Amino acid sequence: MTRVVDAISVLLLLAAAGAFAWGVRALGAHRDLEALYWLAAGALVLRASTDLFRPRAGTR
Amino acid sequence: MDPVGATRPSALRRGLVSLTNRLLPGLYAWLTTVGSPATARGASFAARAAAFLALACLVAGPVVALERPRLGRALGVLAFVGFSLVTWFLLGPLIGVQRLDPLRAGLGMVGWALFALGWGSLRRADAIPEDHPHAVAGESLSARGALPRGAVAIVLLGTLAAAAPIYYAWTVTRAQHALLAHAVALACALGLVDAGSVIAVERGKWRPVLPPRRRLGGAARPLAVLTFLLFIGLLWKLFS
Repeated sequence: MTRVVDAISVLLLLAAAGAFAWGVRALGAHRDLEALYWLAAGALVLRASTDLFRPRAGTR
Repeated sequence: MDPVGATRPSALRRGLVSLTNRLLPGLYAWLTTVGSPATARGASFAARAAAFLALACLVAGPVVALERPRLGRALGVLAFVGFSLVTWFLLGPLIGVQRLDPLRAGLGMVGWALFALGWGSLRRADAIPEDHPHAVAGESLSARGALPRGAVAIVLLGTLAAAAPIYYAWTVTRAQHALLAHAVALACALGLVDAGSVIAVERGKWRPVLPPRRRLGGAARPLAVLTFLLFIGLLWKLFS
């Protein structure tokens, strides 16, 4: 199970890269709202990928 | 065998390698980002003169550095970069984002990065660190742990993934948005490299590995917000 969570974090990292790339691409294609959407999604995915290794003290 | 004669070819070889390492990346960066727009139609005489002065400094720098390193570095780095900046300033709208070829711009960026690396100095392969006059004497410090398996591969993956937003930033041709795209892409790339390093290292054995359920619980909040965002996006796509 630990290895699966490790693999999920790497997949989330790649997904974040994809979301960021899509966001920047949308910015260049005059789709500002879509760019904001994908950049926000990328930031969340990236945060989730590292939070898998740094759980908060309160979580059980 | 004459020891002086034996060391001379080695010193000559080192000098040639150093010269090539410094000259070739700079020449590539100059050709793609300075020489090419400066020789294009419409460039002013001043811009062309500045570009060729930059080239002269680039070539002179490594040669002078063999005898006088400080002067050579000043010529090969500061003067070369300075005249390149003057050229870009004088070229003005000729190097506007509308005229930039994303591939050439990306390759030029790689050229400048290699140029910076070329002027860096590395410890010689046969040098012994303890022989350095400023070396601190005493017991050598051993590493307290080893990197977890696959750490280098994950960092490499994160670094390669970071290239994706930077590549797309070069394709933005809207003048007023191009700089913003580069700033956003740079921030994204830094975040990706940082996250890749965290994922690579935090699997180490120096900290007790938490149970998977607790790890998933730690990421629950961003994952929940992400799910909500994706749901909104899906609705938007369906009904727009």
